[in-house]
Amino acid sequence: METLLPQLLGLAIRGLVSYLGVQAANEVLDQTRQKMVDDQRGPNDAELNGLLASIKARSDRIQNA
Amino acid sequence: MRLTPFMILLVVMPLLAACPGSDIPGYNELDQTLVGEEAARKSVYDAAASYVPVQVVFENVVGDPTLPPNLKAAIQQVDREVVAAINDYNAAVAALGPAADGTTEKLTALISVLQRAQNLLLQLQAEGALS
Repeated sequence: METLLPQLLGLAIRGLVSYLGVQAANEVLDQTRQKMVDDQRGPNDAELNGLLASIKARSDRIQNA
Repeated sequence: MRLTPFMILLVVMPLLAACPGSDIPGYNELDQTLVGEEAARKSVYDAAASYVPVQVVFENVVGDPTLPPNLKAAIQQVDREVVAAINDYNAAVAALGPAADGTTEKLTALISVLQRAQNLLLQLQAEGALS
């Protein structure tokens, strides 16, 4: 039990971090999507390039982990 | 009972499933009205955006020092392939247009590697469940 509790705590924290990360990423995407719907347009160059840049930056961190 | 890093994914996966890519009303209907470059950019945007939640989980898991090297390498490999496929598709849309055969091939390749990334998440989940 003494060893299980820290592991459970670590599991919960890591799960929360992933959850918050996914939520934050989806919130940014949804804000952009909402703008597109409001303006009845597709993504502009800045929005598309911003998304591609964020994926590249996250990929760099994965590769360097 | 010993908790493994992969059991993290047992927690993460249901949470991930609860976070759909988009439920913005009217967003998917844009496909019926957009044409030309706008439609092309949206197709790239949607394809790239579908990888974001998976990539966030990969980023969180890959830094765990207890993650076995073969699984870390698998995550890094599939991430490299997805990013390369997104770039290839984006380049094909820009150079050939969204409806060209060459572009369709790049999109098919991207969908394939995105599916492999999803499968890797499921594999990690399964290994956690078995350990």
